Amino acid sequence: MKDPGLYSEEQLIQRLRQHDAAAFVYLYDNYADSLNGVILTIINDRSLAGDILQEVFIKIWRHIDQYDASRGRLFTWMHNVARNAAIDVTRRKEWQRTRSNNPLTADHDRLADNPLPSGIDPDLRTSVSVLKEEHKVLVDMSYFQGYTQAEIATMLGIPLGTVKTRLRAALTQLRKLITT
Amino acid sequence: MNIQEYIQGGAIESYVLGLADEEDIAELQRLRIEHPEIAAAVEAAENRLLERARAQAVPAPTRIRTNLLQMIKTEPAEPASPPSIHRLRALNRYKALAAASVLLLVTSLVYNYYLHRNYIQAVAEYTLISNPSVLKVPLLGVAGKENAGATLYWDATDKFVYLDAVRLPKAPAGKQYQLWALVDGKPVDAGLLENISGIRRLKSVQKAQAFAITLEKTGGSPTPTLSEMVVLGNVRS
Repeated sequence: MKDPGLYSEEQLIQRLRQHDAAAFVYLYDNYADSLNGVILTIINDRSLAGDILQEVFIKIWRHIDQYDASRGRLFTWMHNVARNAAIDVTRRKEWQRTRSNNPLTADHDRLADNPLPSGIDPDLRTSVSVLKEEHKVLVDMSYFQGYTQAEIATMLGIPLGTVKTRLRAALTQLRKLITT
Repeated sequence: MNIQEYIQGGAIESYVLGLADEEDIAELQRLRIEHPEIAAAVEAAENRLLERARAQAVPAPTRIRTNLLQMIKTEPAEPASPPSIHRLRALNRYKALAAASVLLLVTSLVYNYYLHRNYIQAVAEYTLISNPSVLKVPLLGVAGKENAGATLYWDATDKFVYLDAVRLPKAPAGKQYQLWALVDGKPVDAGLLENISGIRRLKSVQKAQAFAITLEKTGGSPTPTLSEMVVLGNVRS
């Protein structure tokens, strides 16, 4: 059941909602590596990223009903499940303790002697590192650390509207850097 | 508002990356219904997200696949048949949809054909599937026809059934698909499927415990040819 395009997206979702094992294997074979890459942009530890990936697929299997097709594509949802799962791990105490040994989020890019960790998304990292400081901080805090825009506004002491404007400007710039 | 500015301004990326808050999400959901260009831009951003993730994929450890296969074997799975019905959520967007429909009629000539056709289709489907009184009944391929599938929507208010049959193979010449409502064990004709894509409305069905589609001669049959059954789905309330 590995042929790409065996299921239409709608059919795949429908079968996942019915707990169809073959559809789940198909989903895994088609998206596991991509989601693994997404997790590795946040947790640069292959073994731990694998554990997170497993949690992510268990969550997809058990909670596919939380996916709302009116909000976007299945992959968009899975991407968020994966990103959030990785961020949750970065918030655990054990991870925080080992953090000095494991370059984690984009703030390490600002340390001059710390090279970009290998195995992570070079485009996104490189692109983020060339953003203006006020933009970089917002991408880092929101995308890599999972803070809400409201939390960021409080933490940085700037209005929510400013956070939104700057984050959007940063993302616009990233899009240009990545797609050109 | 300036649509191009919105599209270029990063709000869509923020949404797709999961960084938007509820207010941003509500705004985008409203705008994508009102403006087909925005709907197309969201779709493009989602496609970019997937393409980028594919380009930067890192092979997952093989143990994960093994563990997961073990897990789904032991996890109590629902039977494949009868399928459950997913009562669809109310999204309270009828006003926006009505406005969008009017807007569409007025501006339809302006939009290019492809975009326009998809948008009409999307609005029609959205209206249908977001209606809380509409039941969704997945119709699954029967043995030997596992790749076939269709989705039936049954409006509880006017009893009309709608069918999205994109995953039925093209009917051979001289043949036509026919939908049947199974009422207290008896098949009742629920309409013939024309060879068109997208969701189409068929007959009104007052009562049914299941729906099935068979391949019949063009023009349909008074009773179904059971050996030619393609998909089947039970109604559970």
